[in-house]
Amino acid sequence: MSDADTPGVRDRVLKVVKPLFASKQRGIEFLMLLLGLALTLLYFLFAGYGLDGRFHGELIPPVLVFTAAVFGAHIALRYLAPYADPLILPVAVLLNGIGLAVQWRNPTAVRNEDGQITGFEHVIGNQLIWSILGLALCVGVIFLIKEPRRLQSFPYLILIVGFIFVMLPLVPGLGHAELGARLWIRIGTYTFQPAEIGRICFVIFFAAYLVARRDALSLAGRRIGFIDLPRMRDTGPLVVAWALCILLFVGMTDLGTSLLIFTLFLAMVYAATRRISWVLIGLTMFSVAAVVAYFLFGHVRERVELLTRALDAEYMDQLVPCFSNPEEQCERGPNQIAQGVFQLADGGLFGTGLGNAQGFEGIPFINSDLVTIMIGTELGLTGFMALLLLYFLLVQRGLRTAVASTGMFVKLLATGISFLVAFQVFVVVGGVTLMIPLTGMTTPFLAAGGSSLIGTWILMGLLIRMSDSAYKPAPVAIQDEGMTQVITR
Amino acid sequence: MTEDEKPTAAERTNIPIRRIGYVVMALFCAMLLNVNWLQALRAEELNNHRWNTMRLQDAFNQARGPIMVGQEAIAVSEDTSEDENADWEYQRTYPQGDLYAHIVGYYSPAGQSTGIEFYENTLLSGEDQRLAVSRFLDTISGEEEQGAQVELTLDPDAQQAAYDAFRQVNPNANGAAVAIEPDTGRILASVSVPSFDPNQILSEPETYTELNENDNQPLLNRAFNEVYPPGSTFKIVTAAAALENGYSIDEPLSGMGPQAAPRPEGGADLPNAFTGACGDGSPSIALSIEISCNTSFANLALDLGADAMTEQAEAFGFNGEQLELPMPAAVSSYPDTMEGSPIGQNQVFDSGIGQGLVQATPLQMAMVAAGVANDGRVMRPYLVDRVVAPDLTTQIEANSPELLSEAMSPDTANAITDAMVQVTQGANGSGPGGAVPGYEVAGKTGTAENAGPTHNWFISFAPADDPQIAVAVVVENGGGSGGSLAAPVAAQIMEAVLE
Repeated sequence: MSDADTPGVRDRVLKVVKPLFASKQRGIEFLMLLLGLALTLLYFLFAGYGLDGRFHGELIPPVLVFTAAVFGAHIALRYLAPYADPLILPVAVLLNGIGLAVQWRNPTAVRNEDGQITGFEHVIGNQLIWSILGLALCVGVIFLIKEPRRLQSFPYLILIVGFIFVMLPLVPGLGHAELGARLWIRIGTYTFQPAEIGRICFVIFFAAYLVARRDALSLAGRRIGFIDLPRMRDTGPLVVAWALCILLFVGMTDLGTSLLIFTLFLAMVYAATRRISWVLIGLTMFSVAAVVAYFLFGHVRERVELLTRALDAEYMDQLVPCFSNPEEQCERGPNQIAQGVFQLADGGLFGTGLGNAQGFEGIPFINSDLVTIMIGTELGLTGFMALLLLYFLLVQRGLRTAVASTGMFVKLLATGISFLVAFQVFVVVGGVTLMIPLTGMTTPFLAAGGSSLIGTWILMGLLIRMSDSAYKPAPVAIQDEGMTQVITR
Repeated sequence: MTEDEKPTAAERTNIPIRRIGYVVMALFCAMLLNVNWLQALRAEELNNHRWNTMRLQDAFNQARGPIMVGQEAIAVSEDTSEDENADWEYQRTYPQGDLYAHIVGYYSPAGQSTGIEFYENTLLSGEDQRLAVSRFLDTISGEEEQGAQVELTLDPDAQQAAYDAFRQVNPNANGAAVAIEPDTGRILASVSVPSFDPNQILSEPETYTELNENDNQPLLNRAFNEVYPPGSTFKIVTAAAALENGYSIDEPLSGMGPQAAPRPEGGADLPNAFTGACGDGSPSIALSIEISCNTSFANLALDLGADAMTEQAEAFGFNGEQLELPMPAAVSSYPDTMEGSPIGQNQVFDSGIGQGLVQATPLQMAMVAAGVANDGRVMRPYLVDRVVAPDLTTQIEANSPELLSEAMSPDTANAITDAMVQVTQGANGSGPGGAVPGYEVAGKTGTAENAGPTHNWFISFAPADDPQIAVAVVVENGGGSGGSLAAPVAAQIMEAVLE
């Protein structure tokens, strides 16, 4: 036995994480939640004051309702997952709270019969309901899934469920297209983006599948240069994943989900096999597909042009058919990315102050794809960086859970979920800040709409459950039975 | 567990998970760097993007700094939060209306902004990086953010006098007047008539179209941006060229000042503006200035040659860089070539009396007068005295006098000054109307031929022994003489500053 105070050579080489929290950490979580909720309330009140110089007392009840739901979840955790990481829930709550405030802060314009804006309606009703539902589902996941590794029992069933969710919008009558992308289903007045749930199924499937197949996938085939290529006959799954993404991409023009799922797959294969060759082959295949798509599909070229010429004044000068009347010619003007970037630049280092920025209501998708713009503008570069670091903290807690966990499946699942959140943030923020083409992906916790909130809260539920399992002390033998060892499995 | 126990497969997975952690870290670093690039490094560029409408909206929803002349604000942002009908949180108003219109310009939601409002915009709006600290402190202390205060060099009395005098002497004429402090280059007055009311452009956008289409071009700042043939006022440049090239002021120019001088390349003879020869036909340069002799100066220019004339004109600022006051001023020209080939002798001949190809702005001619007044040293003219942060104590920018060029030696300047004093005081002086009681005024009249009625000029400075102000006045197509139409305006401007 190595001395507990001096980590053994083996531990150092493998960078094994000792359980970080030998004791329950619910007290820290409670304090952090108080901080997160206080910041949420302040965000609301400052935004309200900035909008019209009034103190908005009516904002306190919704925040209290949210607070009650959050403390409900916190109390549930005290019983269901007492050893869980104390930061995952508070960070998620703070992000969700900022999301609520931002959605309230960007009101929908109320128009009269002539289409002129007569006022603004500030609502958080739907977003609040979805948030509470999300919290409930998060607790539900923690309650139902006592042992996360059980999830690996039915990989193909989960895969099929995932496929069904992703393909739902293609069902005639149910599906609903916006701006050429058929990503939504509509039930009554509610629209829902089922791919948000579908991707959870994919993460679980990937983890389960890779645990089962990692030995074969790790086998080296021929060696070219310093890279061990996998055996040709093992590349099947990669090709399938690739084909699935191409299908998503072409059939539903959903560039974002396609990129997200493929990258997720590569990251998880790498985690399972430690073979960098998989990543290189995958990236090559994706690049080839992307180049081909660029030349084949107009909408891909359009996306790329939107990125590369977003701030080009001469591009904005070009005449295109008017949006209001296609018979006439209008100047193209700045697209929503350019408008968003102008807003960010206006915010500068310290921001315009909450509620002070002008012209959000004129920018398309400001409360979904471009929601981070609202925060970056009003809180400035400082606030934007703080927001990014908040996401980074969340992802870091997830990866830490992965390292601390025992069992291959749980490790892969925690890695996959963390990477999913990180890459989703990258796709959105990269899209609105001119790093990569804007793909129409939701920002976790912040974007308007229920599917993203629910999907992300389910992921948080899984992470919290896995962190509890990871940090829970091993059962202690009741009596000293000599050589008998307790095996946790 | 022992040291040599083989790690489980799951434990070995920690290594790739950590590497994925580094990849995630790299992704976040890329995002952090990118937002820094957009919001810090490129912010100013993006804020000034042609298609960025945010800038204007911001401009009207926060207090722009005032533009000051002396103790008086000539552009202010009024808080309209009490006014339910207001489109913006602040209304920009110009209390002096058309008096400062061409200088202060206007800041319009329609986007056509001009004058100091346009050229000092980033300071007035507070966007300038130098105001970042002040802006940050305002944010923290919860005070309303405000732009910097821009203080102009203009003298309110001189400006008012210039405007009133123009309206009094030439109620319907177009024209301009510029006054400069000779030893610093500070612009003391700058008037262009007809003027317009910037308040009206802001309140009724259709006014702009009307003004823009008006034949009298009220939107044009004639003082800085219109060029005219300078006529006889340019004789000061010719005289300077002569004195710098070996002539002396009192030496008779033998036979050079007849009643009419033949042009070197043929064509109609050049007559004097008055009947008869200049003096006895061999006037000195001093006398030629006093009575504004055409023939002697045309012959002088011919004698000096195009190179010497060009050199002297350029020493005063002709053909030079575009001055930024901060608004750009038109460049006055003394062309030494026409359509690619050197100008002919006739053109050199005509240029000696400021006709032919010579074109000058009123600002340029004021600089000529100021150059003579300041012992030959032409100072760079400027309009913005200093810029102070909203706290009114932190100075952000201050202009100090700067030498533009040495146009002539002090001796030449003194000699020309003496001759110019005779223009307003001498028995046969051409510009007695430019005299100011109690002061010695050095002046020069000008009556410039052009397609329409003559342009009437007067340039002057006073007091001759210790000049405080140099003035140029032009009355566009006045049809009279510089002495009668322009000199009285110059006299009233000088009087306002001297008293």
